[in-house]
Amino acid sequence: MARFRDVDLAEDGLADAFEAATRTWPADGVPSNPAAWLLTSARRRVLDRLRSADVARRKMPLLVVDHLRHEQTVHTAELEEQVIGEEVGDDELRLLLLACHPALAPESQAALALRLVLGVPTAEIARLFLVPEPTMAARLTRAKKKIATAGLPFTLPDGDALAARVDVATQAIYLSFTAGYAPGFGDAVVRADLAGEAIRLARLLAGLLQRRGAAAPSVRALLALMLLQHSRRDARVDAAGDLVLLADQDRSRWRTDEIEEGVALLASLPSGLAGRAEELRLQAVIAARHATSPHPDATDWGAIAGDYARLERITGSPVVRLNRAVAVAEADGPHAGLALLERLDELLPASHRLPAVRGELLARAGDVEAARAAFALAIERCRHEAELAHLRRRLASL
Amino acid sequence: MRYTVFLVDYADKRWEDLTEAEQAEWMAQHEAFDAVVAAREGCTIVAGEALTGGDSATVLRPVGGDVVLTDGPYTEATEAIGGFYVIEAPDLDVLTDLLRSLPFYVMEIRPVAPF
Repeated sequence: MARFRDVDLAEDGLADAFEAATRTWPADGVPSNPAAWLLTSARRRVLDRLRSADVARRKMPLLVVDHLRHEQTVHTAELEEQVIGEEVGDDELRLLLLACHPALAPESQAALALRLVLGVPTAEIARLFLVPEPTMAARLTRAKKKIATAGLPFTLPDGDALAARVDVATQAIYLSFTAGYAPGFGDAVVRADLAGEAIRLARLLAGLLQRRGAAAPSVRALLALMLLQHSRRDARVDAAGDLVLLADQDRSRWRTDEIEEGVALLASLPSGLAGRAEELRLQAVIAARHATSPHPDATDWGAIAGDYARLERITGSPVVRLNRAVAVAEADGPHAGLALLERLDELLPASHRLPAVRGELLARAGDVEAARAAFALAIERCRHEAELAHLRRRLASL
Repeated sequence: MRYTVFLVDYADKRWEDLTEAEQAEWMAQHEAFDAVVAAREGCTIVAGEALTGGDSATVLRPVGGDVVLTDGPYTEATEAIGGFYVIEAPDLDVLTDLLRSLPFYVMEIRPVAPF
């Protein structure tokens, strides 16, 4: 408690509290793997200073390469714990679950987790949440102040309190993963690390829930989903840094061990899930269908369309409908897909992907003029460099 | 850490409207709360009062260098405050756990400003 009175309210005050807390471990609390702990801690600090210090930038690749080497030799949750150390993992979970405390404003929780646990720069978090940077900075400052002033403790919650935070924590982890998974801004090295970190956090959280005897279907479903998506990372970007479409990816570069783990996790989930857990499970099922297809032509698009239909029933999401239209078009032809796109313009008025999909399906249906118009609209709206390049190429090829 | 907890009355559950049995249960809940706090390490009730209703309130306002008294309450929101506790507890989670013994109210928890 006294620690919290002393918490510095500067930018990284709580990251320091994390370190201060670990410094006050009981006498026998030296981590079983001090080198790994120091690596983790130093890496996080260096990530923070990456923007400002050239010296840090020179040292960064060494630390990241070391860490990535660890990541590549580690396949199972048990080995992860050996490398990182349970004490460090527990402290990271404390920080994650603290960020997800219900006394904090909902719009702050996931953002705070990204900032404190994963060291994502504020500007990047602002972009993820589609708000201006000063807004996000103020939001984070207010949340950090609330933690100190209201005395939110740095502990692992029990029972019901833990269950209540798991949903928010799961959301924060998934946001971190998509920030790492979808390229478009930032250093490529940091991007891959972020996705890997999200997976590691999900493992830690699942491990904690298991140790407490709590079911964790949404965390396990999320972990399966992330593993299956992450398994494609070596094939998603070509040598020039351009995005490679799923259909064009070199599937021999997909990580089969991670796919196997994801598929096994998926199979271990109980049936009859609902809500967010079922949403994540369905997304993982779709990802698994892609991941276990040896060749794009072998993809079971009919089954995927059915999965998306179920997902759309649960979420009512227009983005899900858009994805469903793609699957239906693959299974039943472009006109069937186009029919599903009909009411989506009002629901996704700023989307570049909607006109892009429409353009693709119109091209397949032979309506080149309309396809050109749709792609032109997509290009007008698109803000991602890699996707923009792809759209321009597609328009030029018509 | 020291917290002030404002107890906000439900509009439909006022002391005056309760039966004797319900009032007795209400008091028992407060006594149970006293006991729960006393039993928890590092926790004390520093102060606590039930407040008389908004009809008995008086508002004092500075006006042009002077003070003016008017019949209260200050706002509809403050009228709803039926009581308060000032409590010492190690952190917010311990406090909210203790406050579960008081189910009747909506509560606003304000940390006391450190000096």
